[in-house]
Amino acid sequence: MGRILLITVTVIFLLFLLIMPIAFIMIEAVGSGLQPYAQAIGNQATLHAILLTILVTAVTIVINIIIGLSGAWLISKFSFRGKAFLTTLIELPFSISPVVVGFLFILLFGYNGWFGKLLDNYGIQIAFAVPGIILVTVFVTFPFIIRELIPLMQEQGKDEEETALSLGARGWSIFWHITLPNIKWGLLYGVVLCLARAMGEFGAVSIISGNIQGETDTLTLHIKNLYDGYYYNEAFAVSSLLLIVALATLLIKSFLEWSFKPKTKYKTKTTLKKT
Amino acid sequence: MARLIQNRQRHILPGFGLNMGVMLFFVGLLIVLPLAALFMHTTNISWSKFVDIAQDERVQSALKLSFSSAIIAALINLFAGIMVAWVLVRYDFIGRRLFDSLIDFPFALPTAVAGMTLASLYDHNGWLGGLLKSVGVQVVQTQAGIVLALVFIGFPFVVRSVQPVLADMNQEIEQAAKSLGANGRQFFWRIVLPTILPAAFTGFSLALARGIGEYGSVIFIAGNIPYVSEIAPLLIAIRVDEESGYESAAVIAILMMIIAFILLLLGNVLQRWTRFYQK
Amino acid sequence: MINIERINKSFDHGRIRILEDVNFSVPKGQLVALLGPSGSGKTTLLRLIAGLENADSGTIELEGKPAQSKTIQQRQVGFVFQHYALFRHMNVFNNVAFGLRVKPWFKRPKRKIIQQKVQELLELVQINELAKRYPSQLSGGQRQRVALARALAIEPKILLLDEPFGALDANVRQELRIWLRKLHDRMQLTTLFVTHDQQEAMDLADRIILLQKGKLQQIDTPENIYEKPANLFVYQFLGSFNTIRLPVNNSSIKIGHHVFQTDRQIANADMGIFYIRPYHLRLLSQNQATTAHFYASVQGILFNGSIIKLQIQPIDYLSGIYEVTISPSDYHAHHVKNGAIYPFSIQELAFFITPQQPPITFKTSES
Repeated sequence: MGRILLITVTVIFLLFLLIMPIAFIMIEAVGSGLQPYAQAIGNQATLHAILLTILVTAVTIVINIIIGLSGAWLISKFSFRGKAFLTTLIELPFSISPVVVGFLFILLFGYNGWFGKLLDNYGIQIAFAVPGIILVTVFVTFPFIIRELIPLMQEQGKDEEETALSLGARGWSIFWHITLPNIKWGLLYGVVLCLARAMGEFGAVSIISGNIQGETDTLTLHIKNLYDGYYYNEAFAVSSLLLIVALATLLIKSFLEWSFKPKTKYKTKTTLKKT
Repeated sequence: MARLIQNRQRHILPGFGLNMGVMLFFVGLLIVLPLAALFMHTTNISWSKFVDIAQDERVQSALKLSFSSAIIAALINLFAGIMVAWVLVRYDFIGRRLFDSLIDFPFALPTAVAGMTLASLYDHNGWLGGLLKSVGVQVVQTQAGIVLALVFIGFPFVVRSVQPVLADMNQEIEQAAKSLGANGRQFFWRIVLPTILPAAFTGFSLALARGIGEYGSVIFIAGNIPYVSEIAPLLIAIRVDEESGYESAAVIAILMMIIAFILLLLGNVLQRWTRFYQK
Repeated sequence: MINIERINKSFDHGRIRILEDVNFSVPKGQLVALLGPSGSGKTTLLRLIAGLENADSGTIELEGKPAQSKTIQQRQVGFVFQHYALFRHMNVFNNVAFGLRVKPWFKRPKRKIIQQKVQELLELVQINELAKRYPSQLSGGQRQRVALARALAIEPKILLLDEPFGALDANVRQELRIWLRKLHDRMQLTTLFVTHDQQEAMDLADRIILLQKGKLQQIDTPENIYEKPANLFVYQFLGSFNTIRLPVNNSSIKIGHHVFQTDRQIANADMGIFYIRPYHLRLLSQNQATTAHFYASVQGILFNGSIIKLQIQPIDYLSGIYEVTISPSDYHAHHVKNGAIYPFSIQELAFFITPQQPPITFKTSES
């Protein structure tokens, strides 16, 4: 009795919260037919936004993979002074508003910022340009990969790496042959989370980019511009692309959880958890 | 000399220096430097100016709106999240796995798209807005709309925190409780709830932190009427856009951080208190 | 050969001392146990020798050459972790081949030779049929064999094993001990293994190094360490015992009217603590009663395979519960029953003037 009630309430809640927006975006996207849909996506401005978003996301992911691997190795394999402080700093981006993030980088790289003038002399522009967009996106997605890797690497301990050392292996080959194969699924998982967030970042990007149409408007900014200009169906048409990416990341994520999470449970006979 | 060699070999596994260098560079450039810029900028503002900005009515109402909405939304998510996690872990029904995969949808969907979609859904002409209007409820351009957006955006936090704890709860524990004579309700209130509470509070804190700073999903549905439905992040964005608004933006940002910090500290205390049995 | 001199090691910036001035050497070809209770520093010592930790001070020599300046890769010691640390994403063959494949290219053997060598190693540890399996598909004993084969692949002169049997079931343990002994002899290795199990150390080792709280207690053969413990800790650690409190007078003690003596001069004491091994209490038959030192009733009988433990409560002279071990044949010969009363004799008692010194033995002068 209570069980059926609970399930019903939950299902209705989830239908309204999750399913309805998905359906709504899809219906509104093709609201005025397939032809306009293709046009909305295929026009110059949208294509530019797509390419810019892909560029920003790709660079962000690469930087975050470097940070993630490097930081997780540092924090999980060594003990050193200030480790707790470093861990706190890594988590910090989660609790800072994206708008504030954009503002911080304007303070640094804007025309009156700390480095803005200096770099301007060399013809380098960061704020209101693509490098600025990349910087804020990296800031916002900073914790995703590293937070996924640290617990994974801590749980796996140092025994395998130390064994490889005693067998004569060196730094890179230990990382490549021993550590990476053990964390590859976790890394991929982190990359997927990072990808979703990087593609969809809006607040920080809208501040730092200056929203210069045809230059610094990423997909989300482009959608906002369309919406504000009352290009209602076009806005949803472009949104549907991001919706597809979002659903695809969920699919990959579920697949990853489903296929690799149980395997990581393997340790030794004595530490196997009873379930 | 021998001492020197020993010190250099303090870490047996390779890569300490390299990785420390990489981390210091990125953390310094991306996190420490920008925050330092903000604090330096704020110290240039005189105290009376700081107080003036902080006491400005528009700033105050924006801060109040942001924090009250975030707290309300996080509370709703606390209850809804526990319920959804419980149902997903304990019961099997058609579509369970689909719903389970979709829980993270709000994280995957860009916030701007979410905001736009919610605004259109709950607009007077939207699917749900019209329905609600007929019973006299307005969501768009009110705090209710802001809370709705924040519930959407923060919804996965509590569910995903509680779910693994619930799944980990041994079946033997339930059987033990039942063999000692506990009924279903007693089992939930006396065994399950105390066990999942710390995780639920973790999710609550995360949802709260996210809600305070959220921008993209809110601005579409909020209507952004000053004094009524204008959130603090938006006010910062407006001030940054104005030529002379940096000081004001810096003060609002600092205030947001301080209040958020205090709230999260309280959350931490609460969480520690509910975790007493793990010490 | 392993030579350790004045090794000191502390953690947490000197706040926790793990090892204090430890000296010992392991001669070439010996199989030596590093024995101690948990927290005695034995695993740290093993890791120091392998190069997985650095000592605060002291010297380590391997095969007659100083090892401190050498990295772990250069030391070429075989190290086997307690839980084996098999590379879980590689099959057995690749695990064993790893040490050969990561050699610098100018020293790396050809593919064919690696193949052949791994095959030989797998045969040596008798698991050639498991080459394609992954670690998660192996039993504990099989994992240990893989770990050993992998360590042997780099042709170490020295083999270090951390609790090699700790993660195994009791019956597999016995079999693997014998096998390890044979392997050690055949490969002419110098082997040092860590254990907290004194029985295991006794069964397997040529010599035992006993550690406690970071300090060396005794290095000796299993026989000597048992028969001639260096101090109270060694005596207590190596087996169960009974204690009796008795006054000491003129280097002798009395139990009833029976006198036990030592030829050493000992100061008189009101209450000395005396230790008796369970097998130094002998169950006598009724017709040997004249030589009995006391009578006791049997309070409990524990069957433990090859020996039988009795819990007895003396009815005269002594008080408390004592443990006695007897053989099954004695058990049947004497028709031991719960609650029945039997005569017992005490063969010897041990007394420690200070905990740091070897014990003094007290024996009866009768008969």
